[in-house]
Amino acid sequence: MAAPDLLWQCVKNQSCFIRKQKNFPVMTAEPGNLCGLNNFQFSGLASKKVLGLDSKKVGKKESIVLTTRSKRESRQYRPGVVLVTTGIKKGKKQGPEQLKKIIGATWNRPELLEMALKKYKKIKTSFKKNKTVKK
Amino acid sequence: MATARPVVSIYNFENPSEKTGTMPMPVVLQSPLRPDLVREVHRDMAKNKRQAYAVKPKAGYDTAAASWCTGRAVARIPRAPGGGTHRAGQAAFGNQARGGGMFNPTTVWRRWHRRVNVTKKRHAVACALAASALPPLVMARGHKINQVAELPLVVSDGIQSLTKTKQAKETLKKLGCGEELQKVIDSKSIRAGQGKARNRRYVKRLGPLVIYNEDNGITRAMRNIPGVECAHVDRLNLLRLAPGGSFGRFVIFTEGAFKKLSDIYGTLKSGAPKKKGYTLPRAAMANADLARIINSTEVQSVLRPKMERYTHGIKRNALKSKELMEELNPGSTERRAVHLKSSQKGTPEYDEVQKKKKARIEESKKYNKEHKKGDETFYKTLMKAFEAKAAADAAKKAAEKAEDEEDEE
Repeated sequence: MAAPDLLWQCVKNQSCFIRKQKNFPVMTAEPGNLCGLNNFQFSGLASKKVLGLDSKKVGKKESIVLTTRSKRESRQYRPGVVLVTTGIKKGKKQGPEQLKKIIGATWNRPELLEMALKKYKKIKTSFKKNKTVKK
Repeated sequence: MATARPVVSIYNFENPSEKTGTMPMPVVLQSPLRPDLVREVHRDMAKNKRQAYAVKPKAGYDTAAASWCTGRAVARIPRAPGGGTHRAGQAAFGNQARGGGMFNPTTVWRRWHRRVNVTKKRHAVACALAASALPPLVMARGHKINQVAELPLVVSDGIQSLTKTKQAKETLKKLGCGEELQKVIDSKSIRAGQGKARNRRYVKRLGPLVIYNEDNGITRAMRNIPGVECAHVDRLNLLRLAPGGSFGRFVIFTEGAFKKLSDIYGTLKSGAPKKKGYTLPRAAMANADLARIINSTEVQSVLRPKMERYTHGIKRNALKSKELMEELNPGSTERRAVHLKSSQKGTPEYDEVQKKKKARIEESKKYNKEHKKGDETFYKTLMKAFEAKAAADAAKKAAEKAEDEEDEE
């Protein structure tokens, strides 16, 4: 696989995922981008270690999904399988625990752990809103 | 990429979930990524299919107009001659006149086409091929490849013999291109702009590019599938590999074509057997992974330890801040305390100071008693000096007076 820096240079201005707005930082819709910002740090396309946390709705079921990049060499060229999704528990304690385990303990972007926890909280509150509206 | 060449699986065209074999990746597909080069070459190559457009050479000048010159209360612009029609006496020629020619008429002899150096074109194609082998770049270009088993996608040669479009479509769907094909179909829309009235009514996205070695029906099978294009390995076109100048087209190779890439382009050492005098481009940096370079033992072992960054707090003035003064000049607070106390009666410091003062005065008195007596008192020494000076002055005056008297005589 090409070097992350090189890929970033190719992709930072020229990507179908980039979304631009006036007076707003440049954002991306690519999978595996934690903040959705078009940054080398957060890039889901360019880096070897990728971290994404999203909500997923399948029918009525809402789930929180963590996206990481497989480390196996053989998987790097397989677009369908290279990004690994893990469901995150919705329990108040269990969810953050799980995140800490996956991100922090296995050195998979530990610097993003805080941000991931924050996003987790936000996703959870977004689920709550839906429930009250249902009434 | 100094590592060993990755191995690419070949998928059975009839049953794409199974693999019929493997092949090492051709060196072309590991060419350095040069989006700038691809963009540049594409820009120039794209100009080569242009058709000239221009206004008629005589446009606006097909009248016998002449200026009426001065004296007739009209502007001096050339006017159409004759009479009997509205046209007579109307302004002609000139871009400002109605029915006149345009400013700087477009000409057929505009330089429509661009030459691009052959090596540059070849490098660009190599680069575009390399980009098509990297999932992030293909994704970034907008292709939906999540269902695709592997990039580069190589299919067994049987696909070249497909004759029916239905079969071809089935095969592509089984290979994981269903999402991509659907994207193309969904994207068909009427072109914005005049093109729609000029036989270019619809626009749609581009789908996969199928690169084959032997056409046993594949082009005809694939040509009616929206978005799918076919290309022969020997005749790869940058305008197809990097549409719009952006590399990372989703490419499907047939087994024969994939193999032929090595035959055409060769390796960095051997040069390209089928392209005379051409060798694949070399990367400016063999290892472009900056993070790895910086964190490598070779670099880390030679670094000096990280400097302690001195962060300045708010600047403090030592003369105002007693704490800072104490830091810089240890003992200053003590000294100050002593100094204060020494002016307070009753403290031992005060007594110290007074004692010293007394001693000093005693010393002085003693000295004066010894040395400054009789003729050595201040007053006496002063007067002595004065009298001495007075006597000297008087003597001088007398001498001058004597001289004057002599002169007069």
